[in-house]
Amino acid sequence: MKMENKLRDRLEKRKHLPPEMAEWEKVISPSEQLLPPKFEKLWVWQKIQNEMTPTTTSFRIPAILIGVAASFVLVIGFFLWNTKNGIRINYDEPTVVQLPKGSVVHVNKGSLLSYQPNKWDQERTIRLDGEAYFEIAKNPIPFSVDTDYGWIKVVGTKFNVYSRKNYFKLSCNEGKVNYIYNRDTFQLTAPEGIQIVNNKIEKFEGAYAKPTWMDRFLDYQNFPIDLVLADLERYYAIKFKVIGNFEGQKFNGKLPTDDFELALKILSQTMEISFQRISDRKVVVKIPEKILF
Amino acid sequence: MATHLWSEIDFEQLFENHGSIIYNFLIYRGLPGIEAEDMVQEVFVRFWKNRSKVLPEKALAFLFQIARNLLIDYKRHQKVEINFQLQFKDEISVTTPLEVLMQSDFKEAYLKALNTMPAHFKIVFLLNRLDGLTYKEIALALELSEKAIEKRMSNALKHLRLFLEQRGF
Repeated sequence: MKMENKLRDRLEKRKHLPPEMAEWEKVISPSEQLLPPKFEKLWVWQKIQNEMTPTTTSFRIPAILIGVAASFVLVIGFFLWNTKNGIRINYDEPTVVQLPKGSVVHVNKGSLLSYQPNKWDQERTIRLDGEAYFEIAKNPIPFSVDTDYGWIKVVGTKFNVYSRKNYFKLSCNEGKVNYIYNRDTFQLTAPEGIQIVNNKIEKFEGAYAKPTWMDRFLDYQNFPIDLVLADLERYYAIKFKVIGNFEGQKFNGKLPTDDFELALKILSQTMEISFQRISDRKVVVKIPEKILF
Repeated sequence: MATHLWSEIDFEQLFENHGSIIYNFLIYRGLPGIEAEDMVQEVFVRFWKNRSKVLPEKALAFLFQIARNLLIDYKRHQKVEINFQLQFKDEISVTTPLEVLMQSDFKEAYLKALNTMPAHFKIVFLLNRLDGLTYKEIALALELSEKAIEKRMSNALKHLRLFLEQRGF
């Protein structure tokens, strides 16, 4: 079908040429070798769509209703709604999602996933806000993940994506991954990874065979402490109240995701901070003022 | 007034069919790739906002109209004439160094010839040769008669030949 069209176009083009073809051949034929820069169709379409659909922030929900909705979400476990042309799911527990054609996504707690199953034959694209581990079956249709920090494009491989406000981390656990951010393309081969903290891009080596959160611990390397606490807030459904200034303290080490007391103990013993539990869901974090000699 | 109800699917189809043509059109008019991408986005967003006024058969012409308007704004701000960023595909057919040299000279002259060509010839020539649009389609897009397109095409060819002959090709 496509071939036929191409052929017809070509004939059509020839038909319009002046009769003394040979004379023009010299100036016409080189044009067949011209190449415009590549048009990133998918990327542009995504941006157009973002401007078409009103975002959820455009409706105002009274604070009380938010509370009600939040507890509703907690009770149900996850919250699902079907939009006209896609599925959007907010996961409140680690969940395994089966995608069409044999691919699997392990979604971490507190992550938002959306995709369009009815278009799976043409484009395999998932939008992710949060963290998920992808095991993608080989398929000629490229698979891509869209995040606030750019695009990840693969053919068939295993990789983990963490994309939240202020922080992005991509680890390639098996095979190869292409990552596109601000028009730069990075190619990662297992066990490489890439992270973006405060708009700084860093490559690293040593991604685990499987992301650590699936084995119930978190592994940090030189990681801002406020972001570590933000992770704990999500895992243990608690709130930290911070007194003092972290002054860029970084954490190195492992924290469990199923033992809150242990996590706090590890943090308080390795960092210059102390914790004080004031209620079931609230913990005060104190940073002692540095004494200057 | 006749109106048409554009669904999101129609719109996506429109982008699928014409997105890259609009992009190439902007490239031919001298926009760098990154800016052309942003402008394609703007063209389609504006189309979407005004979709209720557009009949399907006029859609391509409308897209081109928006693109031209945006270009006018753009050029007003830029005030610089830019050479467009077309390139030749790398090919391996030539063998001897002399041939390579001659070919690279020829390519350079060819690009120069295109760059010095008046815009309205150039657009017609490139839309026809690179995007495979027929004269009829170009006429629809630019809201001109087919005769006018033929005329521009032949002027484009004359310009190319003259330019290249003057440089001994």
